[in-house]
Amino acid sequence: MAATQKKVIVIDSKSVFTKILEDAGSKHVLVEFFATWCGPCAMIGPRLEQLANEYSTRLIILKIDVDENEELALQYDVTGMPTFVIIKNGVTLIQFVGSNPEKIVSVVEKYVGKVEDNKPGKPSSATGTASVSAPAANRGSSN
Amino acid sequence: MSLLKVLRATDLIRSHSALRWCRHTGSFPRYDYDLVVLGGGSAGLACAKEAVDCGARVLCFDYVKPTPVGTKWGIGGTCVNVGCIPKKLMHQASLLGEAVHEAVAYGWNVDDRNLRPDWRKLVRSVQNHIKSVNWVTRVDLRDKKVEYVNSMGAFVDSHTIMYYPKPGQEGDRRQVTAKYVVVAVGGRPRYPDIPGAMELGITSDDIFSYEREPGRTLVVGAGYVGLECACFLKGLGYDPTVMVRSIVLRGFDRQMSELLAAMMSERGVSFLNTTVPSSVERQSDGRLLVRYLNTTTQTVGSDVFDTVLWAIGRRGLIDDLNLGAAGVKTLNDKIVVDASEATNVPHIFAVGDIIHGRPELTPVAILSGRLLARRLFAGSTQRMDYADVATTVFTPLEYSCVGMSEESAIELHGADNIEVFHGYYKPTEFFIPQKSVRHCYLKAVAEMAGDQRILGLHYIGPVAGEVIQGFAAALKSGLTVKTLLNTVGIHPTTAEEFTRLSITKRSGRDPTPASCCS
Repeated sequence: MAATQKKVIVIDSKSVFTKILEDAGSKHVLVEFFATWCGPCAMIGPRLEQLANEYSTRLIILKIDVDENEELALQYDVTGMPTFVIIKNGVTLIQFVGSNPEKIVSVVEKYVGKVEDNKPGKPSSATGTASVSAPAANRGSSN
Repeated sequence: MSLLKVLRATDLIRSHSALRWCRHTGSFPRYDYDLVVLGGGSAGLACAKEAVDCGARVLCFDYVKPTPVGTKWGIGGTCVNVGCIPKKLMHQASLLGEAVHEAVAYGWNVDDRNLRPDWRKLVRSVQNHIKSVNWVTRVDLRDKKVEYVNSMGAFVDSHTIMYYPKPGQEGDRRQVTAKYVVVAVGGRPRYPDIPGAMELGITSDDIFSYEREPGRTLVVGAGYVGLECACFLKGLGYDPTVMVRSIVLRGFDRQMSELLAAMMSERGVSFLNTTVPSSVERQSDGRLLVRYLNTTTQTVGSDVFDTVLWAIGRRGLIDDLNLGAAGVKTLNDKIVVDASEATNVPHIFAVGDIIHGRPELTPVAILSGRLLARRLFAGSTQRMDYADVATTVFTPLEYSCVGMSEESAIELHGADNIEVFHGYYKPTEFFIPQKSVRHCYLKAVAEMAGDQRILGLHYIGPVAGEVIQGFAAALKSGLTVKTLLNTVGIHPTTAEEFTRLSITKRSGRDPTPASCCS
């Protein structure tokens, strides 16, 4: 099942956010701007954890509470939640609002690649093996 | 105006000096802002946003001092956070509980025997909604370019406001100057001056985010806040008692107020009439012992409650403003204004609950705030019309009215010059679940002569606010009894009962209906 350790990183300061973007190098970063009082955000949470596991080597997923991080929310002009941003090398590739799981998965696939695409040379980890067979089950589940 | 917007958009001249240049060529900018608004509630925000739309540079202050038990909230003022909005949601929650029981009579297979509310879930849902409104409000202010500071502003002189950007850090003090200042700081609930009041009692500021189940509640106060709170608590299955100092709903039509209280009694809300509280103390079991005095019989009594909620009135928040430094006159705890919301200091205005002698209602605050902004920055001359403001008390059978009470009409015109049409009615939907129609009643207070201009409309029943809203516009347009009775009703509704009014109080005939459709 899902890994016991949570893979989606919760951001609590702008400096942490900046550091993670720097350390990400050329890895893709998916940011979710959420609010504790936002129903759709709560609903999409488990799916994001799942994505974080499936793409653990190629995608970093971050969560930012807009009430706690007003400056960041302003910087990315967040007006509705959840707002998703894909960042690579510090550049915003795409930004959209809404918790439609299909849309989020298709955007991730478009920019990061499909779950079962493993880069040549990367060790086939337990996660990697699981992700190959998982898609059939994942495609079946619709939120 | 468009030149202004072009200049602002191109950022060539960023500051308010652009405005000055356009409006008074040759004069120098004297103030940091065209308008500083003190208070980010219904009045303050409406005024601030309208002013920006008119081209003004605006700064808005909003700050909430925590309640004695520590409750705080975000921007938006009383209505959004601890007033109209959460109140209506809790009212709806209690109505839905009632509806579940009615559904059984309509054939639904619902097990309504052990219906219990999940208070914490209700509070969480209500608070989530409020927070989303706080958020939208903040975004709206940003989009509309209203500068906002989450601090308490106070006068240094009539054109200067000081504040601490980080409340608590007294070392960092800032000042801004303003051409105009609008005070819209509103009010907060009063506490009685008796032992235990602040430490052990809560108010409407606290109830909508209350983490504990209210349980057996004493509501002290019989204004609309007290009655509405008692009613939604009753509807949610708790056991409220209303302590009434003298009369219910002071300022409202007497007959309708008594009818509303009777409706509440029929539904099982207990009343302690002509009674005042003397003290509150906590018992060893954690519950609250309230001692009180019945002022009619002069006997003392006491009772034990889980929660005590003070709803004895609201006070204006003039204390923290340092109004003396600006020379602004107050009366009791409110600010005195003229017909254009101006205080005795020409460039200082006040809107909303803080002003003396005006209805304390959100729509009044919003419209008057907007009109004021237009007069200040867009050359408008339109003043706020405070007459014939419709209002609703959201008890389970709601009471809504517009215009004069019967006694006000009689006082103003004389009993011989007034005709009151009235009647009880039976909502169609009430028959099947056998809901009580005993207090479904409405009346029209009109002039006796000619086409009989209507002075006031009063209605107790379901969705009273929805019923009366349209009639408020009609009344403002000069509605007469003649027009009303020649208006074809929509059937079956309760609102149509206004078009069917035929029995006058003067005739002495029985106002109870035999049947509908005749």
